[in-house]
Amino acid sequence: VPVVNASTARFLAILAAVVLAAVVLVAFAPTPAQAATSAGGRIALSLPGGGPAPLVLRPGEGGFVGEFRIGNVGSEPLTVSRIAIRGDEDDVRSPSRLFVRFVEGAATTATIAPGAFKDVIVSWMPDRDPRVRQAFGHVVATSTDEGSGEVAMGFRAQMPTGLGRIGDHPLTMLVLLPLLVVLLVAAAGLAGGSDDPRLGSICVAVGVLELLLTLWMYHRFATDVGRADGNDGFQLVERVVWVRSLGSEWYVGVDGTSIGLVLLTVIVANVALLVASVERRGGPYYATIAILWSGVTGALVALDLVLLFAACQTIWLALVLLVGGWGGARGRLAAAKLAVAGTAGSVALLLAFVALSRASGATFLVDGAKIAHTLAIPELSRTAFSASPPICGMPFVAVVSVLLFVAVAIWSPVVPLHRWLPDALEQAPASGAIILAGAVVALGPYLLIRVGLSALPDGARWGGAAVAVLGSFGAAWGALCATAQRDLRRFVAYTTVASSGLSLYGAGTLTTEGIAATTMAVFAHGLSVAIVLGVASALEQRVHTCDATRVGALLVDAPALRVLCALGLGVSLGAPGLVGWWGILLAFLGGFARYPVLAVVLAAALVASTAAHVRIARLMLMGKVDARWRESSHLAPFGGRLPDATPTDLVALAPVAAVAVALGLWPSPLLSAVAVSARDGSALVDLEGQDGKGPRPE
Amino acid sequence: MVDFAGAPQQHVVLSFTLWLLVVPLLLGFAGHGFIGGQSRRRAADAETVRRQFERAKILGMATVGIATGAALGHAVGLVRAAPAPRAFIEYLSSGARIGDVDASIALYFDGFAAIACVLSCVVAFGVATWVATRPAAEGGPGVWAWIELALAGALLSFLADGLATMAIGWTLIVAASAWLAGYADPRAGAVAATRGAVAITLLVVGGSWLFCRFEGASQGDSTSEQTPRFMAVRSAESDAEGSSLTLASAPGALVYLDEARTPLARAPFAHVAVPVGMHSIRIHPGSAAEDTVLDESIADGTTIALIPAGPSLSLREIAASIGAPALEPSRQARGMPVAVAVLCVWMAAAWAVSAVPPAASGPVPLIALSHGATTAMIGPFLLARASALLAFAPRMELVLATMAAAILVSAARALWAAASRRVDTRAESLAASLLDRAPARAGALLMRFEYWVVDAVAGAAEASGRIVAWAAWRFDAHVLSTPGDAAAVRVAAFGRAVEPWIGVPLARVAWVIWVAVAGVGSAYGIWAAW
Repeated sequence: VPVVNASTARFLAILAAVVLAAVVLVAFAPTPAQAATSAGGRIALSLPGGGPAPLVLRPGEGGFVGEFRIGNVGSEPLTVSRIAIRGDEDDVRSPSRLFVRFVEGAATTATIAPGAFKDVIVSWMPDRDPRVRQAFGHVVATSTDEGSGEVAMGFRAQMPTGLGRIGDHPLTMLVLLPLLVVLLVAAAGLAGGSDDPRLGSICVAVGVLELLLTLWMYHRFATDVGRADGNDGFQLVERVVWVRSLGSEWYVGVDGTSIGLVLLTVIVANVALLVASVERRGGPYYATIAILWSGVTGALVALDLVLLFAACQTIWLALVLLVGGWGGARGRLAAAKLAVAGTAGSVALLLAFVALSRASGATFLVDGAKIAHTLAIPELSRTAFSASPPICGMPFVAVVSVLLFVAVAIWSPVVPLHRWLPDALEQAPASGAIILAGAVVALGPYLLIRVGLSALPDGARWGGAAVAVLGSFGAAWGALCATAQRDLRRFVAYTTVASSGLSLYGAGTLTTEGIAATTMAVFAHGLSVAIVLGVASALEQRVHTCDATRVGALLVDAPALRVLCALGLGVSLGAPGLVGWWGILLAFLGGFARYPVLAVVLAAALVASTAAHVRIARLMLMGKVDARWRESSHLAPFGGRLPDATPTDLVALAPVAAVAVALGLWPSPLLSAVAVSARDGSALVDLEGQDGKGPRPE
Repeated sequence: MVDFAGAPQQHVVLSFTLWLLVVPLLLGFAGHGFIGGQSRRRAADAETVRRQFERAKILGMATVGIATGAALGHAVGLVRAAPAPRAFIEYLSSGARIGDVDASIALYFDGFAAIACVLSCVVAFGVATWVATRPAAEGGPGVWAWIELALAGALLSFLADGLATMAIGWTLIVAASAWLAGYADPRAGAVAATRGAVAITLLVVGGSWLFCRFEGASQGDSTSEQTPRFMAVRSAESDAEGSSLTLASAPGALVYLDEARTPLARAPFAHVAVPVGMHSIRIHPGSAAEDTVLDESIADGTTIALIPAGPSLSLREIAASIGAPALEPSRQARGMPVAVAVLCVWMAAAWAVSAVPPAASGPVPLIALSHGATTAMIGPFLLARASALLAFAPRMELVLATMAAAILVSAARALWAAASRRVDTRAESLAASLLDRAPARAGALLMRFEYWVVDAVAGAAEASGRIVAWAAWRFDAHVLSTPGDAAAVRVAAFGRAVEPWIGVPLARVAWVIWVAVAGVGSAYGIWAAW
């Protein structure tokens, strides 16, 4: 009897081939060309004791200090003509009050004999009450070693966070913590208990931990830190070399745009986990949800293109598995559609990323190693892509912008590339649908801001108007289609399309207010989706449908669910006084100056959206309950009345509703964080902005 | 510095009690909602229901009474304080500043607001007293909740310092209006809600237009002006020795004097003492806005008011901005078309929001009176508030006045019909004719115009919208989806064909590949890092 049958052998062969290919691809990728050797003095930078770079500055002398060595490994004397902190007033890279000098003589120049070395001291003397709590940067050295050219030593400093190792790596923890669930499920699977109900409780506990960690991060986040303050305006940065041969780093950090969306993701994921616990799912389901959640968080904090792309692929894969594996009757078809859309978007994204990286100039990794092309998004923002050679005879900026926008349009989704969403949302299990519509689609507008505006400001200038046009008409299209929906999930799908349109319109205006509107709209829509789909899930649990025309006014019997549904619809609509309002207001204020006609289209979309929401509200929240429901088998055990929200429902949805109301009346906690990064984004693409990259490309 | 005595900021007193007009009502609304929910959820006996209704009555009278008392108290305070301080202001939430947008919620109580608030509160209090005397069946938690919601919305609209706050007030009003209209017929409620949404959208569109075009901000091909401009105006009053500084806008802004590293005060503040002499006043509005520095010579006995001169969502600030310096001809020419357009948009908004639904269909007919004193007034009130724009378009005065009067007459007529459930057109004397019949006929005419023309147009628009929505949906479902569906079917078929050959589901293959790639990538990263 063969140990393994033929099909298993084929499967293992495929697996082995894939692993081998991955290993070959990663390990044997071309390394950066070595510097040509010269007969004179040769410069070499190292740390005392031979430790790995970058240099870590330790507390001392009233600030943070550290030392490294500049040695001469050549046969002749080496003259170091200059050592300095990389960057200047026009190109701020590191926080202020950083100093570097040779230990001997306190100078920035020195002559080093063959085989000798000299120590260099780097110090950071932050203010007593600093806004920037980290320092990342490079000390660059220029010498007579022309073969090596300018060399660098990376350094970093971190103020104590009060949380020890966790506080030093909060974003890594945030990304990797959900994967703990995967390990647990795998272990439970090996032990034969993959359907153990305790897995759900563990997953919820991990969710609560993530929420606490996110709230701590939000508390530590300094809202008034921008690009001019160093570290490219990012906070909670973690940066180590990941795949040196590719020039890729584990480079994560947050700014005002991403911190709000990270919070949204964690909130939405917690709601989804609580809903999943009601659905009583098995271990593999929780593992898939955890991978999806980890992927979304990773994409939001990634500042490296490889990391970002890997996170995006993780998300698509998890979504396809979720919809295909646990979806409804037409789940496989919806998953296939999702796979097609995801593949198309991924190809476009990959091509755009490769083109951007190949067109970038030489720079340094975090440890100071020189690389020919960068994958770091903040570095890309320093490249003038308008001067890059054309691709297939077409301007570089135009080609890459179009590729990027195709990816964004599929993610968001934007009409006419939105058709995967209604089917996926209808067929996905409730908890998966909540993450999909609440957090995953938020990545479309986010990608546009993070890559489209930050890394490719030339492209944003070139295509901003087109984005605004597609956004406003997409909003109108989504709102119109939403008025024709009866199923609550499909209704949410089309309101998502409309909300994405609003977000893209805001981003396309390129104004501070418009860019802030994008984040606010995405955040608000995520909360509304969590509430409305949470109510839809509660209805499905009770009466096995969420068709508004069939359900009718059943919610009249359930006051708590009724109030939650009304609030969810209000947030989705953007009713003044709720969090959704600020996104709409800012989009109008930011957009009217540039595209008044499109603002009128957006106003029409708002009216259509109101009609759609009011129709659903009228069907579900007003009127009298159909007498047939009273005698139905679903409600007969409850005396013919719809059971109201359970404690789990309330724990999942009431805090979200409270946040939506609180931020509607007091948006400052969210807006303050968004404001500075929106201003920086707008300044990057400003025609007369701070980057000085010249006029709009023709 | 501009010598000017008319800027409202110069006569502003910071208040800490204006919230009493609105917040108790909203809390009462929530409380009545809770009581109503309880009575719905539990099949209580008659005695329990009676007790719940009694509690609802006490709570309702308390909240409406507090609001009315607060309105009267503030109005008396305003009268007694005249002529020096002529307005109270209170920031309920200090918001963030994004560029020129101040996302805060502020209440502003001046003469206009005082009249409107007192009128609304007195009518609402009268109606509440009447409702309290009725049998329990007519005064359930729902009725009280409605009175509170409508009154809170109206008061918030009247007290709103900025358009953002006003929109919140309008939303509450629209919710109350839709609730009342939909009491018997949900469809009528939906129509009222949609109509209200149109009004709010028009309010926002007009506000955005004003924000972006007024004073030339954010025009052309450059991005939004990110520096909120301030100017210093000298008060004509010199009531005390020394000099002082006032900044009643830009909540959260820090004001520094000369080279000081610690702020002199945090906005909003009034009459903060400053030494006499030449000073450099630096205003730091927020992290996402640039600082403004003003070099001013401050004489003894003067009060300096710092007022924003750039784009704003606050009609008070716009009024101050228009009124403070003499208008340049170029600004006049640039501002006029914008002012006319914005006023036209807001007139449409005022008309739409002030529509009175068939209020008599509600649970208590007399509630229509309260509804009229709230809903019907907020439209004309907006036009009154926007009167500062008439500096650019003086010929709009007549149009505005006519419009406001028409809305009020129309509303009064509808209210009378609704409240008394009759239309009495008999007049016994000339005085009666003038007082009752003429307005009644004018009102009836306007109502007919509204029913037959406005509603017909709205109905046609709604029908067209439905047809377009249906067509869009069909196109979306059957045309746009075709390529994706075809590809998905092929992919699914491929999966079905391949799975037997591999022996395991494709999902598992994808899963294992992902784990393998992620594992290799992570391992390599860790190895490289070490």
